[in-house]
Amino acid sequence: MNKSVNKNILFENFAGRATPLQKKLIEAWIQEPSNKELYYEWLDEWENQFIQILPDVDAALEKSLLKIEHSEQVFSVANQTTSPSFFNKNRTWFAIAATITVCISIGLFLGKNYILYQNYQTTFGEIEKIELSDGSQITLNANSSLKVPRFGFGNSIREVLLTGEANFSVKHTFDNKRFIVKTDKNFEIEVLGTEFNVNARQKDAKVVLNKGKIQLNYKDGKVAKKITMKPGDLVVIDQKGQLNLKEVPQPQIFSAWKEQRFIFDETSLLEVATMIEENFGLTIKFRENFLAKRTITGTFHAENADELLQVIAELLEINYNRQNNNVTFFE
Amino acid sequence: MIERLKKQPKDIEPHLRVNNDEADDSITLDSEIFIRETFKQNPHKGYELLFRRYYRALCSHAVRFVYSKEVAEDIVGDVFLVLWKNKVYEKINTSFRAYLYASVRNRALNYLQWEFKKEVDIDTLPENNQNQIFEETPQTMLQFDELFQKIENSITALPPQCQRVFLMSRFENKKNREIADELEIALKTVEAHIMKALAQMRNSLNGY
Repeated sequence: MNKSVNKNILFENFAGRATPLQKKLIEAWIQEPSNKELYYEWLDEWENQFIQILPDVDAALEKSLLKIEHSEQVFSVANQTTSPSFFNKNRTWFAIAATITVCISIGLFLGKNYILYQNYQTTFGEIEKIELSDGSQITLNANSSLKVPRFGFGNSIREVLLTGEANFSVKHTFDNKRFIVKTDKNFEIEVLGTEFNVNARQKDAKVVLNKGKIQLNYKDGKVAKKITMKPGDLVVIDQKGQLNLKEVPQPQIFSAWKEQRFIFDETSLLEVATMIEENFGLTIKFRENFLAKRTITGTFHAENADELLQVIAELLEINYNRQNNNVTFFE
Repeated sequence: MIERLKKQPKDIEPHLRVNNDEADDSITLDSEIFIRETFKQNPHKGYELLFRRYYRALCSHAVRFVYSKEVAEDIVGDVFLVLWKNKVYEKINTSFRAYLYASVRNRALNYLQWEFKKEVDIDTLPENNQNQIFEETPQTMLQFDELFQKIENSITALPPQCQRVFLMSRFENKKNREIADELEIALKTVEAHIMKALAQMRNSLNGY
């Protein structure tokens, strides 16, 4: 048994005071498995003697046990939403888990959403900023909702459910945990760390990427497909599920709503009207149909629907009439 | 040990030496035997014992590499979770200690490469999102020692004010604005200090 190295030499090495020759000696000495064990034993002893930080062990243990518990508890729930590759690999497991899921769903049917998800909801004209436990920042536009799992968020993947429109600034975790935005449309977005805007409202859905890289998973008929987006890409998914990718020079204008700014670039009044309907809960009509085709260009700041309507009317030199939530544009 | 051996009668010395060696080995394993036994009977309890035994020292070790309490705790926490999820305690053939320290070092290096080299790309990530595993050889073990010493030296070599700002930012969970207010310096200065410290850390990573 090689005993050329003693604790003193190793401690000197950890402290950065070993000579090159001593390092050679240690290197030869560790070759023996029992000495390798001794190396780690002495490393542990050294760390305990020269401690650097004092973490709260009880709190950390509690957090860790909770994570274990949740990862076991939400196992069945997670299976509902994991990618197809999961049950390819673990067919039997999936079958078992699926059975469990059914039982749980019956038991928790009514309160399920409340128990499993933290729900953020904005009404018309309201914008909410949300910070998730992983540090990701989300700005939720008006008339939208975001569901975040109460349990297991960030254990293996980070997953949220969006209806409406939101801007995401996702924090990259050092272990590259995936962040997935699910929508009630037939697509989802998968990211690492990045900034992008998702609009999954009633009409066409839009995804715009400001920074980083994301992957869009969607269904073409019954076939699962995916595309990778780079900054400046805009993907429009129409009501039939057709996908259309184009490059936009200024992706940030798609998230201008965060600052209550509205940016239009040759945008038809019809599109503007749709946007107002979705954000402010109004119903907009045109007395003369050709008005819908007129276009607007410019940046506007508006705190509420009336301010915006006024600006538009002035700009196009037309009139509007608002009664409760019904607005009519006319010449 | 040598003194003990000297006291033994000469003729039985070789035999005793063998016994002593065995005793040494069993001591190494013995300090974990209780944890091992507990894992066999009640894995949750075993996990708790293991956690309490090594968590603090492992964090202390991780922090030498990453210089952030929060990141160090995350790394160690994840190493324990992997041990649990992969049921490492059922198939481990070294001591827990050797496994834990090697894993923490691995993850710390992965983190540093991610933070400073931004080499990790979404397209090159392996399917299962596993961290890269570095093969453990005597040489790499010593390289890890040298790496954390380099990082420590680079922080020690910083001008005092710069070092102070950096440590406040990494260990006291303070925002740049708060540090600027507390030290009565400009926000830009705080940012410059932190940039400088990070650049030093990045430099010490060269070659890893």
